[in-house]
Formats: sequence, C-alpha cells, structure tokens
Amino acid sequence: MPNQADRLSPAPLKSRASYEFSEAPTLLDERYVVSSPEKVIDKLRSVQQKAWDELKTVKGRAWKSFIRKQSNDRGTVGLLDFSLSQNPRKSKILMYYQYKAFEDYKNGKVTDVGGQDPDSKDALYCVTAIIRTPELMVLATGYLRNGWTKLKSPHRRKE
Amino acid sequence: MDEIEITSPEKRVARLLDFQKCLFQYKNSPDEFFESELPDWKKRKYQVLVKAKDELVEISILRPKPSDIPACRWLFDLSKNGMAVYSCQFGRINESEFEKVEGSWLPKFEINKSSVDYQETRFFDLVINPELDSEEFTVKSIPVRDGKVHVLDRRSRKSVPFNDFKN
Repeated sequence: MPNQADRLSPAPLKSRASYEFSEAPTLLDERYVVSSPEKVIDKLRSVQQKAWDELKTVKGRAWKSFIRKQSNDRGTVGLLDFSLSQNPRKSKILMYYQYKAFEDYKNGKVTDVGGQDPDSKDALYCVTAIIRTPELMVLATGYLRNGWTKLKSPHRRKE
Repeated sequence: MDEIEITSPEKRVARLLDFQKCLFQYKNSPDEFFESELPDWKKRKYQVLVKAKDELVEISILRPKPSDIPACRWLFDLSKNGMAVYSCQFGRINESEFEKVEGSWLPKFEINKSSVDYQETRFFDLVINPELDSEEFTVKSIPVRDGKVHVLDRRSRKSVPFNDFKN
C-alpha cells in the first residue's frame, strides 16, 4: 500500500514550451474515409454503450491546474474530490485550493494534503463545491482571506 | 463572503470543474450523443465525415460548403472501450490518456487547451462502482466550516442559514 504522501505526489507541471500548440494531433488522413459510416458508427456506439452500462458510479480525486498563457506562468492548482453517479445522473465535485500549493505543485514537491493542519495558513481549503442532480444544481464558493475560508477541508489529519 | 446557491440543473458550470465528459466519455451518454448531438449537426446542414483505421475511429463535423473546416472532431479508440482520446470543438482541444481500472477505461491524465489557456488534470484514487450514500449529493454534504453561511435557493428566492436548511 502506498503511503498517503506517495499517493498525493503530483507530477511536475510541464515546461512552459509545452503549453504551446506544438504538435499536430494524430488524426486520420483522407485515405481512411469510410464508405459506410453507419456501420462504423454502430460498432463504436455498441462498444461505448457496453462500457457505459457497466460504469454505474465513480469516486476519485485529481490534481487540476489552470494556466492562462499570456500571464507569464501564473496559474492555479487545486485538488478535486469527486463522486459521479450515472443513473440517475448526479455529480459532486469539491475543489480544494490554496496559493502556496501552486508553487509546490509546479516544482514537483509533495503536497501532503492529508497531513496539513486545517488551521494553518498553508492548509488546503474547499473553495468550490458543485452538485448536480436531475432536480437541482448547487454551487458553493468560499473566498480565501489571508488563507482562511469558512469552508473546511475533510482532508485533515486524524487526531 | 461565502455563498451557497441552488439553481435549476440546466445552468452551465464553469469549465474549470467540468470534466465529466472525460470521465463518462461525454456529458451525454452514447445514446444521447448519437441520437441528439450528431443528428442536430446534420439538421443544421453540417456534414458528418467518418474515418476508420484499425482501432481508431474519427468523426468530424464539417461546416457547410464552401468551407470545409471541421467545427468539431473526435478521435475514438475502440481498444479503450471507444473512449475519445482526442477532441477539438471550436478551437478547444482535449487530449486524454486512459488506464484500465477494474475493467473500465478511466482517464489518467487530461489536457484541455485553447489559444488562451492550458489545463491539466491528473486523476488518482479512482474507485469503480462504489456504493454511494444517499446523502452524497445533498446540500448538507457540502463541507461548511460554520452554519452562518446562507443557502440561497434561486428557484424560490428564499435564503436560509445552512444549519436550518432541510434537503
């Protein structure tokens, strides 16, 4: 079993050069245009449908970074916690964020979310929550004030 | 100032958090995609072009003539349950790597980029088909530090303290 710090270790962000549109996508050339598209689409659809039917719910986490190209490497990074249900279609995504995490993530340092004191200035805090169900959508936002927000993180060390 | 708002489910969500198309292939099911989205393009006089090679299937939506520039393009991989490994929709490119988790192909890494921004998502701790608690998708499940924050229901235009809110 990997320890928590290993599981949460993010790979470093790519270099700035890779943000540019350098590579052409590997798409198919004109030789591969099919004469009976319905047949190909039917096959694709049946493969997808089988996988779709088998995937009822998913839980997971992700590091998400966002960089605006013109702003000289400025960006944000957050930890996402999500739960998805296919039928009925429901989703919940919580985003945890703090300013220092971006620099740590960019430099490839471990950001041990679970080990951080939620009352410290470096703690990650839930700043956005989105819940979607067939009946409603809930959007919750918290704003950091000197590292503080009213939303708390469940990723706190167990005493 | 912290806010919790309830709206109708149709409201658009900020792209920053909208990665369900990657997890569940699309925001739509395969049926919804092939029975709604593709026919809708055809109705608008766009041409649907299909290419195939080995396990790869490419679907392009071409603008009406005289332009033949694709408006949207998807590259699907049949060896990965038909997941879209590449898509480009109106200049926004999405590239994904998948890994097999308990028999399902789930995203491992996703890049989403346009001419002005670049986003990376690295997935981990994925669990397939867990039992989800009935409280999982309720307002009360949001981690609020104290109960002073108000819940504003834009549908009824009522605002109540979080602690007094009933799901």
